[in-house]
Amino acid sequence: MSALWTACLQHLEKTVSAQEFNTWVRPLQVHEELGTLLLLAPNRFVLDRVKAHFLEHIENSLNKLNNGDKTQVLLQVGSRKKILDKTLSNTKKVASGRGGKGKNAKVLPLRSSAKTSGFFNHSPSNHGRAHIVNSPLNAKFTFNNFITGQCNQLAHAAALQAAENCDFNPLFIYGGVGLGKTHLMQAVGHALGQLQPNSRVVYLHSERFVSEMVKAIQNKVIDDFKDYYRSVDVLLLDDIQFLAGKVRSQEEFFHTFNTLIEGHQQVVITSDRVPGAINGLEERLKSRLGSGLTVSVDPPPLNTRMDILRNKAAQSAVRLPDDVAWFIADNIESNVRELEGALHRLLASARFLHQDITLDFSQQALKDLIVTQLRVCTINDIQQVVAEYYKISVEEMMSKRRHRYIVRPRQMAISLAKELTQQSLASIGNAFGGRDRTTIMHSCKTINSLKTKDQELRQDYQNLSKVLQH
Amino acid sequence: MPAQLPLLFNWQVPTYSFSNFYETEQNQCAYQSLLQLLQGDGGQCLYLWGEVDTGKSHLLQAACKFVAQNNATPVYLPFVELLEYSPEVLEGVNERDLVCIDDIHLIAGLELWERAVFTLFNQLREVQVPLVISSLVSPKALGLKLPDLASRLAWEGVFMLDTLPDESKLRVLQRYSADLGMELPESVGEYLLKHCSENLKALMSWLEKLDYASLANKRRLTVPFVREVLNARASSPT
Repeated sequence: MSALWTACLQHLEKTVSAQEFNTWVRPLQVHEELGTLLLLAPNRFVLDRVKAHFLEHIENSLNKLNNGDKTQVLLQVGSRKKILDKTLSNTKKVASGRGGKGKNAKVLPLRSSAKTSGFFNHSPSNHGRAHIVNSPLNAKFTFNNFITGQCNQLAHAAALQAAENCDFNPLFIYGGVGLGKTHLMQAVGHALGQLQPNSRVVYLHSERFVSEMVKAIQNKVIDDFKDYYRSVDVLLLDDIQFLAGKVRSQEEFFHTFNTLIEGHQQVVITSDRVPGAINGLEERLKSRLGSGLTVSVDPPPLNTRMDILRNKAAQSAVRLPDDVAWFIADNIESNVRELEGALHRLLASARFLHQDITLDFSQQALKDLIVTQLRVCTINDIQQVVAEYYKISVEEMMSKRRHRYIVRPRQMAISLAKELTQQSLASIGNAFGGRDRTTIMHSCKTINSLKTKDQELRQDYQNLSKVLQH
Repeated sequence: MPAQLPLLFNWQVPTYSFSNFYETEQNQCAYQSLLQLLQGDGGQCLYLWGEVDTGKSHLLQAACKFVAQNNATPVYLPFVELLEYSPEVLEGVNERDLVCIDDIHLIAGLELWERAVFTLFNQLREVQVPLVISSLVSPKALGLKLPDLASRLAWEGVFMLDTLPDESKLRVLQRYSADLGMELPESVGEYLLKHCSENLKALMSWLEKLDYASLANKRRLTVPFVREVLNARASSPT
């Protein structure tokens, strides 16, 4: 980074509020070219804001730091990476021109690594040529790291088969969020890449397919875009339900898909549901998507969740005790991502607090996460249950009345709402007749303090908590 | 006799850094996990949640400062301010070196914003740029319309920051006063905490006013002086 710009930032940091500085000024990247300081904003909103509020200040600071010499400053949308890519692309064009291959090189060749995928990232100043940026598959998403169980056995077997023989084309994997669809899909990509090291494996999320296509149309390189995606060896398209309602993208994908299938190039697609159930997808596309093999991944049962936890812990060189694995797996049933999230949290807590991973420690460390999983009640539920328990009405509880027989249940309900719903103090205050956060905090403090002194109240609290969570 | 006003000059704005973050038992794991993430040794995404006054915005902005000191370009995205714009304000930020999203709960239910954050999340994972997110509530309690985004937010480190006890709040105020070049006696800090039942941010703003008043009146911060200033402010027309 330019020393002058660094000094300018240090100066601005002292005079602009921290939030303004971090939001609008810090994201500017700098590139120096022939005595001009090019400031690159991530988008036009940042550019406009900087131009309106900070540019003059920046120029003054730069001039002062440059002993009064005027520094030429240019502000534009872009990034250092794009400038470097453009320079590299120009260098390649010159080299390619010298080699006499320039005329045919409509699209720059992909790196011959099967572990990478690509997308068009066209720069308007690139004279109509497409530029390919590589995007690696996740190295952890291999068959070796995939834990199988009844919930995903068929999908796993089909994916293995697809990776070995390019059978089942297309392979369509569907299931809920965070159950391992992307993992399986990328495992196919890794395996095919290893078998055929020169193959071009492209993985991309459907949203990116759409945005790349829009960019290609805007930059008039749609033919390059088509050529590129229709010539890959393996196409892995994630979350195809995001194409729903996007007619032009579906049209383009339909033709790409047909070309690949006819050419016996492997296509793997994932979605949150079976092709026929994706609303907003053209019928002909739905029908083509279901023409290969459609397999599901279901939520893992308890034993598979425990296996997943043990395996993930082992990847971090940690042996997870069985009772701890059981505790987490029993409490987090929704999906594998949340299971992994809980494990990350436990391992980090044990490391930073210098504790062994025992059941007691895990229960303590994951307290708020497990409560979140258990939570099935709303503030409304809590008000109803507590009012009934203390034989008062919900209206009385919400009122401004300060009789002891109303105040204590109200404080109990507020404290339970804080513990069980994880709503903010402000939201709880609103739900309790527009009380402010200080009142809510005071109620929680009072109940917490009383729980240590008053056995009856403690028992009431436990009873209510149990009723509300089960 | 009216108080002498101090000369107007450019106040040095206190900045958020790790050195002025008050580490406590309640926030230790979140803080250490953030440091680890920034050193490239702790995953790619961190989700910090907790009440107002738990230091979330401070940590996010300190993270920006930290990576900027290593010649990298961070971006801080406070949704409380950015929701005035369109979700396109998130475009291009994936080409920075660290992205910090503050108050993500504000986009819950806003379909276009949820989509934009989902796209950003995927883009950042592809290019392995770290993402730090703050929220008032846990990922599960966000109530997002897009389950794909909700599950991704819960994927890596999710840490709750507990509300600071009054004793820790006092230390935070004392540290902030020191940054302003003013000493805050314990008795005055306790008085402020007891009588200005506002959040820490508001109390810090009070400290800035007290700093000015103390210079103008050439008086040290004492409980009677602070009471005088607070009463004068309360009775002055707005």
